[in-house]
Amino acid sequence: MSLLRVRGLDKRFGGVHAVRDLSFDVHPQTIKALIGPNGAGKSTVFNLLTGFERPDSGSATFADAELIGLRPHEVVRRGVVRTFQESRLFDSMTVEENVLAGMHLRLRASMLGAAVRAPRVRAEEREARVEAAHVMRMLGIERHAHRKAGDLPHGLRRVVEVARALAARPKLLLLDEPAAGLDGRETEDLADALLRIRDTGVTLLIVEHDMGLVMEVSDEIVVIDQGRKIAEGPPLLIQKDPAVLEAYLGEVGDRV
Amino acid sequence: MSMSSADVLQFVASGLQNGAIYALMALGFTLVFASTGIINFAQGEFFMLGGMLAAAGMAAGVPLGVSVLAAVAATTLVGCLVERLALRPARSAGGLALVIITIGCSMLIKSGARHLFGPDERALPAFTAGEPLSVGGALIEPQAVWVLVLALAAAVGLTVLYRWTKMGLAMRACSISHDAARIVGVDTARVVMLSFGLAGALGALAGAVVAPITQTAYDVGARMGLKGFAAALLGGLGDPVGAIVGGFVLGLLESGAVAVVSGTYKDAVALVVLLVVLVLRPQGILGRHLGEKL
Amino acid sequence: MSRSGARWGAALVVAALLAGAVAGCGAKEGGGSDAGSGTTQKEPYRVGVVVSLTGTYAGLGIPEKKAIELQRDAINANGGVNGHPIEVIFEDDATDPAKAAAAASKLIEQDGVLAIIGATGTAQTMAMRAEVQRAGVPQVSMAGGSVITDQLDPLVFQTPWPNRIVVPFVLKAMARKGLTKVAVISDSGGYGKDGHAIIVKEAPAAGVTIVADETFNPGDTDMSSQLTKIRAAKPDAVLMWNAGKEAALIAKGMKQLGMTQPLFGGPGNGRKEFIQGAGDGAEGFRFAAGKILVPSAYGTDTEAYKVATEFIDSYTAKYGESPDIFAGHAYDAFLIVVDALKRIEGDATPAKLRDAIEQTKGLVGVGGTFTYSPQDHNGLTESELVLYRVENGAWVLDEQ
Ligand SMILES: Nc1ncnc2c1ncn2[C@@H]1O[C@H](COP(=O)(O)OP(=O)(O)OP(=O)(O)O)[C@@H](O)[C@H]1O
Ligand SMILES: [Mg+2]
Repeated sequence: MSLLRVRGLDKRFGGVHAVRDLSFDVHPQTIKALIGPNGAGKSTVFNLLTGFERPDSGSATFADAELIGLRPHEVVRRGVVRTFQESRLFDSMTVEENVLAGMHLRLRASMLGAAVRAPRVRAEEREARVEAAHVMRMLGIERHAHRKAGDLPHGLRRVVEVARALAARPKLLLLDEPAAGLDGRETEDLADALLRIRDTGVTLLIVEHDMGLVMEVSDEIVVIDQGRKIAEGPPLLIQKDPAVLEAYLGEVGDRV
Repeated sequence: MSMSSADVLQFVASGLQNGAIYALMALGFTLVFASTGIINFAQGEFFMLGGMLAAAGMAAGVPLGVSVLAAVAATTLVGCLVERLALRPARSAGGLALVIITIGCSMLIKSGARHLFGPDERALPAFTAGEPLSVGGALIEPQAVWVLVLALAAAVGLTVLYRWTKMGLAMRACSISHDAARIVGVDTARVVMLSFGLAGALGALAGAVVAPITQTAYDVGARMGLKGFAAALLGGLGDPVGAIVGGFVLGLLESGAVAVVSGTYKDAVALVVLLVVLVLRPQGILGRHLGEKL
Repeated sequence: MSRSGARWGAALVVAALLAGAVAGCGAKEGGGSDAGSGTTQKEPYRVGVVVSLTGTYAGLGIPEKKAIELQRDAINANGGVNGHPIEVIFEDDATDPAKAAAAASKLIEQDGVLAIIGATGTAQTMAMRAEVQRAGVPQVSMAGGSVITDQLDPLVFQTPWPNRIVVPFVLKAMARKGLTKVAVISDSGGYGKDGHAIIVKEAPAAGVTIVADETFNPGDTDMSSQLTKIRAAKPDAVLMWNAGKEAALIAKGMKQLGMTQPLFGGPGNGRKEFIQGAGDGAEGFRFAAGKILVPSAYGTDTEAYKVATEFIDSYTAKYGESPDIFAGHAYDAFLIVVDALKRIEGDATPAKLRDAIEQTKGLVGVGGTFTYSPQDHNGLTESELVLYRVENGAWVLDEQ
């Protein structure tokens, strides 16, 4: 049984065939990595799955419901939350406010209720802060809670974005290059965090160029090149796959 | 000629009355700018529609209160339609093209009103009858009190909406980054439409509440649009509190210009403010940095 | 959209708006050719009309257009002038002098009109002068600025009572009532400016002192600051000089500021919309205008009474509302052109028409009896004027 079932996804941008007849599955509570050389179409797959782009054909079933055709916020409400390769934070807000924003738009009660129907809503608000603190701790950014997101270095911004996504309590988390801009130590911490996230019951699909991280955390890998799937399987097999080595040759082959 | 303190107060009262109207208009500009990054030049026509539709309602025998509410509601709808029918389909065309589309919409609304209501000015009765109130010697007509009270109520309501409701949070999120708002689950298209609707409501409210004092006509939108835009710019586009302050400052400046110099220069105040702010302080007097939009 | 993009967009649009504001705002309403309904074999006489159908003076220009259409149809139904039907081409100047000049140029170059009636406003009328001079086409203006016929041009004629006649009439009436300390409020447009200059010049002769002198811009919606200054000057009376919709705001504003001084004005305020807009504030307002508003002032046995009542009746029958003084000015302008055309021998040319117009003698219109001469292109005197007062929302003759 798969949580996300992608079938025959296809997308052209003018002359560029960015995604070609792509099919793969993501199983519940696993980490799947989507890898491929630059321009392979990885981010486009994310865009297609989350309603930022429409595919020319194909389907993506998430927990038995179709994602294709939904608008971005509807995808989020179904429990599929993504991050961007270029982080999109609320720069004028603090890190904590960013994380709370991920949560608030999910909460049933409006904050106006805090003034009117006090107890229940206040409790919800308190819980939200506790949960935000928890999420930030999990990703090791709690000491930055009160810094303005716009002032953070590149690497840290991506982690905040992961935290905000997580705060939305996703069932499926799509992370586009979460380790870009992190140093070795921070990447290690992120790897630990991703595994812990998975262990809380969240399913992850990550796009990542850092092969060390990919090999460490993934349960399964799907490799695409020029929009086409060229390999799929557990990390150990993918590492030895001739098609994969070929695709990466002269690019990041030495990192595989 | 000597000015008594009552006269000075009278200038202040006049400045506040106009300022309240400018503030509502500036709020309309600012809400749309915050959620879309564009300047909606149909805002002045929302003002015109508020007054003209209310006057048309009255002429058709509908009671005043109902006419005004219906005018505000109808203009809210017009605001939503401008976004939905004219702007959304052209969203990918980019900011300047969208701004030009709003100018087109304003021309369309204006000529529509001209054909529907004719060229003559229309009068609207005061919301409540009564003699002018004396405040420290300054005489303030009851309708001016309506103007101030409704403008303040709208400002407070909007602040509550913006700060403490989920929709307000969504609007603030959109004002920073549409993509960021989308990935936390905000329906940005709805927020944008709603901000146009709110801008329509604010403009119409301003137009209807001031019509008993100033009369209205199909062509009053452009001038008021210019004033509201100047006030919004003065307050730092995109900042609701700034818009309100900007509106009152502009009203008082105008009143001061008439008192000290001459009525001929009153309209020049808004133009000077526009140019000075655009050239010297593009972020306005209360400006803050705005994130990427759309 | 990026912030700098937004800023550039803003700057651009501001520039466009400034240009629009300076030019007077207002979309051009399609001018158009309206051929008469008459069916005569002869070539039609073409007459151009430039009126303000939009903008501040729309409320004046629209009745003007209606009056001319009414007369055109009546004349064409009766076989036209000398067997020629009259074709009238209307252009809207949007209360914008630049557009008035462009309209005159279009009428001359493209339509080859024999004469131009217009414009509605003084500034618009003056802006057309260079065009009519270049082409030698006569112009009959419906605006009341003195400058139009003070700066005498062989080609330019005028139907309303100009400010140089009306202003002294009003000032003398005020002085007769013992109202000698007068505050003036006038608009900064052509008509207001023209009247203002004459008020300042004529006040001493009439025994009137100006104690406050305020201005406003056409389209202004709030006069309270100007009125506050006037109130502080404690005048006996207030004299406003403008022809637009702002008059109602002045009358209302005075009432709201607790000012009980009598308010006076000129013919430009003889509009029903003024009374509707000003409500109670209009009560007691006095203004000078011709006798068309209450034709019995002519004396019911006069030719003038007959002409005026006939016009009023046919206008009311067609449009369901009685004509105002502006419709009257347009009626007179058209009448003057038609009367002159009738007197032309041979083919009509603009030059012959100009000469014929200048020879207009004792022509009874609704605004007065016109007699032009090479020195006088207005042909009216103070005797055409009466003082009106608003009472119970209607115009009545003010007892002298
Ligand atoms: N909106 C778009 N319009 C046109 N072409 C696009 C668009 N988005 C992506 N592409 C093209 O599609 C192809 C795939 O791009 P995509 O961003 O999905 O690659 P990627 O695998 O994420 O690469 P990277 O590792 O560099 O992030 C590229 O050739 C890209 O130029
Ligand atoms: Mg990518």
